[in-house]
Amino acid sequence: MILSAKKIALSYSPRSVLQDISFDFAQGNFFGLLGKNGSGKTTLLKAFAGINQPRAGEICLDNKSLYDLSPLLRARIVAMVTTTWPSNMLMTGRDILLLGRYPYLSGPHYGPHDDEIVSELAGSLNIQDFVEKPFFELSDGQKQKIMIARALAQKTNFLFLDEPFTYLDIKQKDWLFEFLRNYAQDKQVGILFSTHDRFIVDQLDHVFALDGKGGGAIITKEDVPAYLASF
Amino acid sequence: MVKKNLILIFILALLLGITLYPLHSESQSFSADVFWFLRFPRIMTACLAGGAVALSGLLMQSYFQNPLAGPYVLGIHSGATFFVAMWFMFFNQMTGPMSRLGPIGSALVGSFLMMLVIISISKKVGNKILLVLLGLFVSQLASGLLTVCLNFAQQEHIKAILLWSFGTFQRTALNDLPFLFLASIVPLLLAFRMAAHLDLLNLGETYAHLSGMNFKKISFYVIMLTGFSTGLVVAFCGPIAFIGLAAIHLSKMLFKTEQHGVLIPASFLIGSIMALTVEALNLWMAPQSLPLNAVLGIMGAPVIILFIYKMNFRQA
Repeated sequence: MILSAKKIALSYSPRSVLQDISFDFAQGNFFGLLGKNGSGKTTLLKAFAGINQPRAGEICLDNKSLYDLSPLLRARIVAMVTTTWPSNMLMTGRDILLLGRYPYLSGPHYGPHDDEIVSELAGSLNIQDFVEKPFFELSDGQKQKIMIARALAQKTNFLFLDEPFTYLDIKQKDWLFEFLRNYAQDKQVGILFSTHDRFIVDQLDHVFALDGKGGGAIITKEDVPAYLASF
Repeated sequence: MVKKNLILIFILALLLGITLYPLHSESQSFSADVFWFLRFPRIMTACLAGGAVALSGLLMQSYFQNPLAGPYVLGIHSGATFFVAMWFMFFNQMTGPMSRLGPIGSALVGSFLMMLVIISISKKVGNKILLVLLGLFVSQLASGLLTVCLNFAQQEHIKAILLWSFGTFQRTALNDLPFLFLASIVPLLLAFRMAAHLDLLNLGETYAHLSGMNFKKISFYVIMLTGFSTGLVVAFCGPIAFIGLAAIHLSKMLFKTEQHGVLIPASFLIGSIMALTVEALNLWMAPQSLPLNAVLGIMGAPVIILFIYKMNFRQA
């Protein structure tokens, strides 16, 4: 599957942020998203995740518009982790992970298959130690991993992450970066994430760079230093 | 989770039994007529109305993702009250079926109208405290209008309307019970079917959209269920304070969960128990009768104070 933006213009109400962006994004791609504060990174991620319809242009999924799909079907193809957290006091990590199975919910309850997927993800993301605890008691880094696990439970073809490494310590950051890169490769999931972390950027082969004037393009490793210098 | 549900229902049923026990043991000295025509409707009204108000409170808290939301706080009750009072003042000459259905219809109009007003306000203001404040003002507006209108009402109506607006479980007769059954059991069963969707709302609106939730459909159901249930309850019992807020926080404190599969029956039963406790108190004190909302306030306020205290404590 290929997700392609065709000359899209996006606004973050009421301000218009991005104009004329074209971009092909395939399963298995692992790209960073760079841009200054306010250049439209979150806006772009939300558009790809299906919750911010472009003002102009179109986002297509194999030649079908992403926004013509039913919301539930779309949630089986694209998932996103935002920078905000649920404020509820008593939900456990497991409760939250299970909600990632919502797009597949048939009938009033989640089934044993959903529990299996949640347990398996808790294992592969190394969160078993705190997944049963109330979410609000967790550290920021632990919360972040729970929210990423929730998005993975959606079992989508594409995953969009808004600053996923922000709250993680150096070791966790390394670990998560490797995990996501392997996940993209092994499960053929397209992953696009925004970041401000130089250490992360240096390890990427491709970066989608926003120029801060409404445009953006994919650049390779070699062009990153020049791009950063123009910041 | 099923096991947790069963234990919960057992504990709460036990509590319910304990509250009801004095009513029963005392009833030996009464004739069967007194029990069936006086006590039974009151007990059933308290059970059903208390549960219904708690259920509306839970739905509104989850929908608005606001721990202070509820049918009383956000003015749904005062809207319905205002419309019923208007009916009594202007159409009190009505006889036949309209004299019964009129107040019910007005209460439903009032509660749906308020529900729509509050939901459209909530779309404009993202701030949770601001929503509660605006709800408070809308509610003040309705009760202000009511007071002004009462000034022009006839003596006997004023007393009836005032007593009713203090909240009461004592005005229902046996043949009113089917309405209260509709107002409570039907929303309860429908809410159960919505449990997984309500759970998703706990992640906030953005994640609900990201997960593919049909937000319009859920909004529609929440408006229908709370509007319908609140309208019918207010028509018979008047506005009921605190249960819609306290029962939900009590069940969350007791069962330490945000899962609606547990919270729906828990809130409903705790609401019933709270209402029954007041009603039991009233039966003991007969022929004196305490105003429902005053007693609920005295019982419920400490719960809310404790909750807010705990919230601040956690944030600090």
